[in-house]
Amino acid sequence: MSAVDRVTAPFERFAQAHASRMATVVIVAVLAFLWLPIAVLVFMSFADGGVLSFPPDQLTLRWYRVFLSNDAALDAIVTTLTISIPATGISVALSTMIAYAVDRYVFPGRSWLQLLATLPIIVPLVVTGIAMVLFFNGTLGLPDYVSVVIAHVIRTIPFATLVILPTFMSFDRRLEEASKDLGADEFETFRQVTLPNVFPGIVAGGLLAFTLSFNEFVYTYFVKGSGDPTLPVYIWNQIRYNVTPEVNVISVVFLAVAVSMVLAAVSLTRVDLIARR
Amino acid sequence: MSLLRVRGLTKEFGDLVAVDDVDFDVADGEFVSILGPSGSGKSTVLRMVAGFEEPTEGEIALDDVEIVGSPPFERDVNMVFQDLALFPHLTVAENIGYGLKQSGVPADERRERTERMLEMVRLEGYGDRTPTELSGGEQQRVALARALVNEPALVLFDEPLSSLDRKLRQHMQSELQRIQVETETTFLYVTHDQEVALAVSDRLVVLDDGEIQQVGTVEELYEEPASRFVADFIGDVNAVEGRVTAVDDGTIGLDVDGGEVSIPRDAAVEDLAVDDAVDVCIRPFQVRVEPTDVDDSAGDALVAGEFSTTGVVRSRSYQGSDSQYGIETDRWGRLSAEVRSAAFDVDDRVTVAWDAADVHVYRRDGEEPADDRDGGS
Repeated sequence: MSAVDRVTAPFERFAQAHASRMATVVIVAVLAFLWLPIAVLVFMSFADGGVLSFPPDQLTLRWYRVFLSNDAALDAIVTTLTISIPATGISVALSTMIAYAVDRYVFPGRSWLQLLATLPIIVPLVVTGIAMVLFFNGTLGLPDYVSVVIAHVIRTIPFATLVILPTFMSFDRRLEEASKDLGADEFETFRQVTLPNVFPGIVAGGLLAFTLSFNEFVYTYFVKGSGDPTLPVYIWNQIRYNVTPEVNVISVVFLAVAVSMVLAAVSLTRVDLIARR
Repeated sequence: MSLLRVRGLTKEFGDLVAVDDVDFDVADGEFVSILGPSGSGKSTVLRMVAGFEEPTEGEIALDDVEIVGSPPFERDVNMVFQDLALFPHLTVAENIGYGLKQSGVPADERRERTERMLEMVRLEGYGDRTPTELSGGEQQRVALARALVNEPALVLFDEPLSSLDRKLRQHMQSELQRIQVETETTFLYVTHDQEVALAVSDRLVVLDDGEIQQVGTVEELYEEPASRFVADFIGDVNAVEGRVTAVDDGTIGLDVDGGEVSIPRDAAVEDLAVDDAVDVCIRPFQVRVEPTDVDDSAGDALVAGEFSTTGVVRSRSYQGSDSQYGIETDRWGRLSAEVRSAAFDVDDRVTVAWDAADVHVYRRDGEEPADDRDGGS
């Protein structure tokens, strides 16, 4: 037994004896790291009292009532939706076209298209935000609303494309041949075979795009400037000038929207559906 | 009159000639296989008949009507795809009824005919399942039912059985034959697997490098192969190098590595001239193996005027009733023999012989270099 072995052996024995318990500890620690702050936030949304202090004196639904009677917050939700819904529609349409082109056709610049469509994920948001202010508001002089919708489309396209593209790639094009062989023309084949098979992926891409757009802060803050705030911008303003536990409530609303959208997206792109050819 | 008539069919992909001037016919009710190694163009022929590829040149007539140029959905043929291509979002019954739905068959009749098809392929009660819930063999049956339910003039098969294990494949082969007889449909089956092709087909079209090598019944191809390629491809074959020494009315004289043998004239499909280099081919099952006392490998131990040599058994394998021996011969390199006797062992010295009447002779003009294949594949 070497010197090194003598030192490490007890640790190895310990690791072997407690392997599954150690794994559990690590998993719990990681999940706690990810979710504890959010859990505290949800908990604090039921806290009484006017400041963000922990632990709260008692629990209450007061701030939920305040939120529901707060016209400014509800207006912010409406403002967000008037941006997110059209932005999602445009983003999904463009992403579907990009995915279709990248999957079906070999054309010059195909790999560049794929790269450029997904690259914005890694560009710092602040950089793109400033660029958009310069270009849309400054150079083109577009109205705030148009600029912010375009910004949201740009923000969501990479993610929607990344979700939709695998759906097209995993779609077996022999199915289209089989359909035509059995007497369906091009249109009927698209309607009865292609669309049902890629639709879940497109919807999942849309849900993800909507969630991102609904939560989008940086671009919106830069591009939209003044005017009616979206919900994330409203929260930001609240925290800056007037901290109340109502902010926690709004954050919980966000969380609920985001989690339910993502869960819906995950269930639509069921792994077995993608796995089978 | 033939149901399918293919004339001068050619398909080029850029510089590559995938299918080169192919002619063949399929008669009504026939089971014809296109057999060839991968890359021989057999699938391309099938896809042109189905309408997925446009021929560069040539004619395809179905029931005397030219179909080149008409889209797949207007052709009275249905295909069973290699990977089956069952619709994953539809149930088994919806898959089978898909073609009927496209041609506007009312729902009642559709259900009834789908039911009948499920019975035909012995999948009663499977209609409500999805394809992914079925085993490989069951999926094959669904694909077959989906093609047959439309009662097409011709059903095309693109190697659908290749993914099955041997036992299931053999079972599906006999099922195919039964269903073909029951439905009185014409089948055109593409495969690289000679075992499948020999088992199921009335006639075979052997394709290599885009060109037809031979068309004929299984017996014709096996007993009278038109080329060394066909002899090699349809069943196993031993090849011995030789040179023509004499040609007269009834016989051809051959020099096979020091021994003079004369063979019947009709053993050669093409005209041979003196000094032509040839391959003398013999099926392993026509090779005799006998025990020998001769210990040395001297030439004088060989029987003159016959295909006979001594050798050492290098390998043996039992194949049910037969045993296959690989024998390193003194004269002709390694040969394989398939005999009833299991009496020989590795390292035994034996005499190997066969009748001159059983051989086939092909000129070696560089088209297929002799590689001393012992027939095992």
